[in-house]
Amino acid sequence: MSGASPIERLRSLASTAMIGTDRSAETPAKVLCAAALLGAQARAGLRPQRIEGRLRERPEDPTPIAGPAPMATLMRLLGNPDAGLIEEWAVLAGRRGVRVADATVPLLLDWWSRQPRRTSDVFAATGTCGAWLASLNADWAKPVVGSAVPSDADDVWQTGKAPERAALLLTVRRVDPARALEMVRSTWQNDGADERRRFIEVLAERCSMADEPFLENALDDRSKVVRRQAAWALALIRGSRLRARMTERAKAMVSVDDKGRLLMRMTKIALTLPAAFDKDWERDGIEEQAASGTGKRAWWMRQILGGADLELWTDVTGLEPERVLDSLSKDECFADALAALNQRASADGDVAWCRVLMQHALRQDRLDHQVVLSLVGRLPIAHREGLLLEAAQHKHVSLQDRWLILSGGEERWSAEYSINALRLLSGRKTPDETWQLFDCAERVSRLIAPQVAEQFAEALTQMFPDTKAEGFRKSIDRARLRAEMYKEFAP
Amino acid sequence: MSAWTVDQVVALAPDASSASAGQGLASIKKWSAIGKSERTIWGLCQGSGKEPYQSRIDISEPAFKCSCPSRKFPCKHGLGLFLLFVKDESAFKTLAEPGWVSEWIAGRAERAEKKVERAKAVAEKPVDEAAQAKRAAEREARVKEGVAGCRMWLEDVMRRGLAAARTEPSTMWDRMAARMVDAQAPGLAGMVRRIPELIASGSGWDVRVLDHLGKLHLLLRASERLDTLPPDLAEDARIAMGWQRSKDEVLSFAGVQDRWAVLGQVVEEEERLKVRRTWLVGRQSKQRALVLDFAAGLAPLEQSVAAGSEFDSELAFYPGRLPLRALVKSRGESLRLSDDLGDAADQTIEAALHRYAQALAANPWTVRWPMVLSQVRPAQNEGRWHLVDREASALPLQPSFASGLAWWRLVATGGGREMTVLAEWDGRWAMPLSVLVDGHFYDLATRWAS
Repeated sequence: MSGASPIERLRSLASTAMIGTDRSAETPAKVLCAAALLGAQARAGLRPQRIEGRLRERPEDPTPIAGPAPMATLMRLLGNPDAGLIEEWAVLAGRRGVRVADATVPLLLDWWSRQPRRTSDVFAATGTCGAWLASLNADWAKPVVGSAVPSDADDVWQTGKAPERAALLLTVRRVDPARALEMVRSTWQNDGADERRRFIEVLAERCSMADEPFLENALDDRSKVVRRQAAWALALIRGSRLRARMTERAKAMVSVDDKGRLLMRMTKIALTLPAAFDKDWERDGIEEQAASGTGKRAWWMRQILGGADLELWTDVTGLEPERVLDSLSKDECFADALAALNQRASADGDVAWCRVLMQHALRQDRLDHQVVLSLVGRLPIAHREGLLLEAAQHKHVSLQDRWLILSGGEERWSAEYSINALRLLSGRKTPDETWQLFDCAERVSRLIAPQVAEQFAEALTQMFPDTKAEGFRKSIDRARLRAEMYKEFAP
Repeated sequence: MSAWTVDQVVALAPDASSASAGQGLASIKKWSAIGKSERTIWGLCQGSGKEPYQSRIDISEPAFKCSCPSRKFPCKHGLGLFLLFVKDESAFKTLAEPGWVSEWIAGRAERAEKKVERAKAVAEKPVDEAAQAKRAAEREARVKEGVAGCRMWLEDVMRRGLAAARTEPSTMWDRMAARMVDAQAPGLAGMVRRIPELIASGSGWDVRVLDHLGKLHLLLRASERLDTLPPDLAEDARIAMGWQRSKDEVLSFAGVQDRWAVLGQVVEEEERLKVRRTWLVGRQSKQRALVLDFAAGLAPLEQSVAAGSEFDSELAFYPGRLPLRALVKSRGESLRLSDDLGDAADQTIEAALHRYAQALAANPWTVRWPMVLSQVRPAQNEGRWHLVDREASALPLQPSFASGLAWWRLVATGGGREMTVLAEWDGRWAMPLSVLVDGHFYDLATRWAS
């Protein structure tokens, strides 16, 4: 035993101690004394391990680090995370050409890796330090929706988990749409219905005629959710066979009544409801069962018109979009046709039709804010902001609706729109349904031009002078924080 | 540019919510009448009360004072004002100190003087030896009884064996720990409380428990014969048992004058008591020092020295064979720690382990030892993280630390290159507390991870 090291001797002493000294020749005191001595010797005599391998060093990063003020703001945002603001911080940093200080990168990556939706802006703001740390920490290397396709993309696609694959597909789709389609095809037979549906959803982004044959096949998929998703995606592709079929079906329902044209130089467009549900329609995603309160035949027509090319209306009638609406307005199915047109025009982002439909909506006594928002959603920003301001000044729009209309959308506001919108949103009277406005105010606080943050704060405090204002406190603070952030990043 | 960084100021916050609230107040809009003088900054902050709060900071220490009713220390106003100063010093104009600032400064100076006088008075005070001896005798009797009880209990545990001890309910250990508290031996209580933790520590637990029980036994034996032990070893045994000399008494001892670098700080909470360990290293003396602060319940820890700073000061040490625990006796202005520590650091991991062995040889009850590891880098071996020096010697990291954000902060700041790391060594694992790299100090304190 004497040749053994203290730690070995302590180990063998431990086996005596395990069964107890009652069952051995030792006394408790003797075992304890030996343990005290051997323990101290073992700790004092510990030899360090040897590790020869070296970590790859972090590549140099020529990007300068953000100044103390923006860094302090980022720390504050991380202490009380607000995803939108952290992402905005990262975008500003990128625009300014600065990056996150090294010591803060792990905190940011940790937060980022736990987000359901990850933008590459945040990752980019961490510079080479972030990429280097992600190569050492598997938790941070996972799904990155970025601008570059990782080199092990094929492995990830073949063996990765569902969220990883979806994130990878999204990245590939943005860089190389054809490769994304190829990837989906390569495992399609073995993927579950949920994944197949999700992949079609991803492919719908930037989909083109190149994807059409694949999606057309998917209309015969064994799963209904996949079939529905494929029909939805095909409806987005101009020139798809599904669109052509829809347009053909629609043609049978739209006709020009020429009697009026001769007498009063007026064209009347007549709509004919389908007589029966055609079994072939189902394949293209047309639902037979209508929601209660809607006539079945009107419901079928609405779906078919909503899937048809907008050109149908101008081609069949030889009229401009504006006249088409006028000529339709007398028909008893006008409401259904209008809903279909609204749906198609906003999905296609057709500027001419969206404008005409907006003008029509503005002339009505009642203005539905959801219709307004879907119509302007895909218009270029200048168009959109002008139309929203117009809608907000509609004579029957309450202050409540104004908030809902003006705060819609996801893109940041221009300075001019911010000022005008704020003027329309301010009021001396407290609106009735304050709770609805909490969400609106939150959206405004994220979108409004930072230079008018103070006016926004003032407007809110004036409208909600009492305790209700507390509910808006967060929005006010957020708008101010954004304003400060922009100032901190200013050159 | 201020000598302080945002990181350092945020690290002064008593908790994460104060840190966040303080950051929210670090905006010029929240303040009025701000100003600075040579070592002080101040400002008014409108809170929920009628009068704005008067917040003032002596940045040479730093020391905080605010008129708000918050029990946190420093409060969010103090942190906000300090952060604002660090972010944008130009917003503070040099002004004459207003009355409410200068009075506070004067009051502080006076209190500091009184403290020195009080320590002097204690040192000079004629001691009522008879009364003191009586108190000591009473206490000794109580401890003697407790120690004897604990020894018998420990021997009984050994007789029945560790396998049997493993099946004991936790109340058995708690009861003995409580008895040791009653016997006025909190150090023994702490050692007993640690036993069930070690039993549950996974593979190899039997060796660790036996090692720990050996240490406990050694302490029990030592406490039975304190008067025949060499006086400095007897002091170490007393400290291990939890018998404190009074602060005033320690402050009256001659101190060690040096430039003390504050290398790390860690707060642990146990049994409703917050304990803060602050590790210092003397640049000239190369001596290591540990300053402990305590706060019970919800009370805040008193403001002490900030990690990442250094100052000329006299430290008074609690006596022992290798004095480690100390009190700050008097101190000069805080400077930002930036320079390399030179040969005050441990040059290699071998050297650091050697120093630890010496500490253990002097005081077998040494629990943690500060290692100032220069020129080390992170390395991975068999999936575990280590710190490795130029000679390829490696120290393993405490697993819970290596899987946390603080570790990744350490890795990120060094970028895989060499750095100086302060770590607590417990004989098995290293637990890094701070990093010094390229002249920058980073506190790895856990609040960053929250």
